[in-house]
Amino acid sequence: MRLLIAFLLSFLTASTVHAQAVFDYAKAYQDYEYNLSAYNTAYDDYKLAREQYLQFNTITAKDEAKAKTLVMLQTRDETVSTYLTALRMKIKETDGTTDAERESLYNRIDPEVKWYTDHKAKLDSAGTLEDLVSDSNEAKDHYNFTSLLIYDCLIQIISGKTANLRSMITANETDLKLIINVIRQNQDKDTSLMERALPDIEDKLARSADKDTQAINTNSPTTFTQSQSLIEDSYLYLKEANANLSEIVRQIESQ
Amino acid sequence: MKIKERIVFYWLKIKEYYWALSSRTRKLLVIAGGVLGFLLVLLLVASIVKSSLNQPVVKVVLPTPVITALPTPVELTNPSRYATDSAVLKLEGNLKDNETNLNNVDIKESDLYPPQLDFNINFP
Repeated sequence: MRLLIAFLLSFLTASTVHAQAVFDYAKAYQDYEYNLSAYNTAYDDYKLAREQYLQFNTITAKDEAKAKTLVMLQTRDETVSTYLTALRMKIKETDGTTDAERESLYNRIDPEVKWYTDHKAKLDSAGTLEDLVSDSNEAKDHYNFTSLLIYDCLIQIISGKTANLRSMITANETDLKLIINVIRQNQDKDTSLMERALPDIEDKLARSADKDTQAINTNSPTTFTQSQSLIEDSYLYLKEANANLSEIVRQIESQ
Repeated sequence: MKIKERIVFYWLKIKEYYWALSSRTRKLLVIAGGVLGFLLVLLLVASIVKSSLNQPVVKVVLPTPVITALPTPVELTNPSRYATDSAVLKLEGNLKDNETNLNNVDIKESDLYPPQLDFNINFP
């Protein structure tokens, strides 16, 4: 009997550990989507209750409006915190971001998630509709600060992708240089054209890095689109650099 | 004299001349008229057939089947001794992987754009 209980306990523990282990970006994003859907439903209910309250101005309508506003505000806080968690998981799973950059963003995300969790818990204690409006305004003011963090995360995620690709292409460019050196020493193939093409590739890689830096440095909620297009420019430089490297390899492989 | 009356007048004159002819001449005239009419019909049919044969042939243009360009490996017509070098082949593979990654990367991450939330809550 003891053995059976021990076996069941170990099985349950293993299941719990496994469930904790699979919390990844996909799961975090799923949570966020679920909460966003709940918010949208709650928001529609709130709009209807608000209209009815403004139209009839009865105590019942006010109570209904308060109840619906409370649910809407709670789901709104939950949506923001699950969204931030999804961003955190995406940063964690995106290559190209340094540990320092990750930690810096985590240190900003975690207190934000806590703020919205605490704010949500506080909403229950609101006695009147006016209290709820006041609590909502508090979240509105705070969301301006949260927006800065959100767009910093987004630009970090997409620039991390280009950084990762650039590091791979740069490593390939180094390998190519070594191969060209060997060929030059063997003196059985003219490498002058290939060697002349290399600085142009290096220039493209450098320009790509500059675009990323520029995108990160100028990023804000209002300039995000511009930053995003800088990252796209960076990506195009990478595509060209990689195509140029492939062209040199073809030259090496041909007589 | 009006045109209609003139036509009737000439028609009557022709009939008068016709009936004034001998029966043999009238028969010959009818046969000649029939042959002439037949020749006219034949001529008309021949001209219609000829015009239809001379019409340009309308070619039915069938849509050209679209051939999807598949990436075919570039075959070297004149390979160097480095075409089979392991380091070169490894680099070539890496560059192809990069190309695939570059083509598949989601550089916008639009799924992660912030949610549309209403923060302007008020009860005037």
